[in-house]
Amino acid sequence: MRAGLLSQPHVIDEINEKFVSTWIIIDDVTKLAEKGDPLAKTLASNWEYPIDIMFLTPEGTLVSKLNSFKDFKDVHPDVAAPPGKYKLPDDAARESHVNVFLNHVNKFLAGT
Amino acid sequence: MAEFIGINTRWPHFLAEIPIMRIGRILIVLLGLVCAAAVSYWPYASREGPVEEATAAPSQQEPGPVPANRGSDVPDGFRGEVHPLLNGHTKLEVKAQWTTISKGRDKLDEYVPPPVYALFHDVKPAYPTRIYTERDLSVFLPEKIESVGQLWSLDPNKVAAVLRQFQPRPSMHLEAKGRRAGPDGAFGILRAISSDYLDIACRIHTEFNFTPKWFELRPNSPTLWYTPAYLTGRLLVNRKTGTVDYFRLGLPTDKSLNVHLTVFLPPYGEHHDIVRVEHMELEGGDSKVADGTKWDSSLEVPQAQARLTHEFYKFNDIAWVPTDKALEAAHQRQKPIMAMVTWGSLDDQSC
Repeated sequence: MRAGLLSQPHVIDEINEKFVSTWIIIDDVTKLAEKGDPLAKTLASNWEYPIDIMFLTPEGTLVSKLNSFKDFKDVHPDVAAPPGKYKLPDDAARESHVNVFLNHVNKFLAGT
Repeated sequence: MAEFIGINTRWPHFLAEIPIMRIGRILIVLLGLVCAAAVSYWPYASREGPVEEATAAPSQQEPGPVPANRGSDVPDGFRGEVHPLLNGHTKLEVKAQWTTISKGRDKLDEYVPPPVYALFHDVKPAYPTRIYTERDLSVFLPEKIESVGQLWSLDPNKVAAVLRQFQPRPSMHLEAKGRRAGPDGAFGILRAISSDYLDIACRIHTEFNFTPKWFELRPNSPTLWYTPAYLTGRLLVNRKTGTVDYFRLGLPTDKSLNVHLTVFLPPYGEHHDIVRVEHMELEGGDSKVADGTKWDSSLEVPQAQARLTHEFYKFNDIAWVPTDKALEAAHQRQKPIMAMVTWGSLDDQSC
């Protein structure tokens, strides 16, 4: 994801223009939540393995999210163990990660 | 690398500690073959793991390269034998420290044979101390000193020579199967400059092959990789004496997890874990030697680190803010929040 979707210049521009962005490891956000951080509490309680991209209002209310396994289905073969474990069938419909992401962002922004 | 082929005292400590080693090379090799066979077949008898892992086909695929983000204006660093700035005589005693791994979240210890896991767990530096001279440390310098913030790419082969103080088989190309780790690379940056000192920082991506050579003598034996998140370095060059007065290269500990472990265990496939290591570092000299120096020009350490990270990761063009500041920032800018929560770190090789 870091080398693909999040390294695309137009995706980076879209994120920087439309969002305040943050990333954090689940262990660290859990610790932050235990200290009482309200955003961390929301993130920790809604996280699913292995990567969630969550979209929240400026007040910190969770609206929607994308999960790397559930929503970005056409994964690079090298990231699976063994390689190709999550490969889609040849006849499956494919959508680029960029399209999945940008479509989701547009729906989220239209609703906020 | 040829110096490490065969049994000798430069092997990783886990081999050096086998008591029977003194008997002779032949017996050791035979013992190794027996151990490798036992290790390979141990899982058949005792492991209770997910079916999908037990039936997974072994991977024959090496991970493809992940593109780095090296700027077109970032030149190679010094490539000669001794940098002209180091015209004094450096004799720096560098001590190595390397502590064990924490228990991983993915419970690798339950999926691989104990003797294999012990290779990760019982780690020690290959050389507890080593003397470094101006010849060894020239690799960390740029071709020419220009200005604070200048970046350069380090010679991977010479970096690897330093990394052998940790372990004999460092690789500057990431080879662990079943993952896409961060890009290969090693970069330096001039963090601060004064009439007396240069303060240089660096970031290195490397991976250590922990597979004992005697495993490799037998087909279908486990292969092991130990991948630090990255190594961060600091070098203080005394411009007056032409010497390196301080050197440190170590694993960062600011994040909760900082090392990725990979075991390729035929016929099951790969097993992975992410763990924490408190200390993995080389250090020599006096870090306070430049305290009180009035820098003519400098970058803050986090700023220098961010520039180094950017040479690896394009995604750091995203204006990330710390999670505990995100809500306040969103409120001020009246923008929604995009928050990524991850199993492991995004901007290093641990995940």
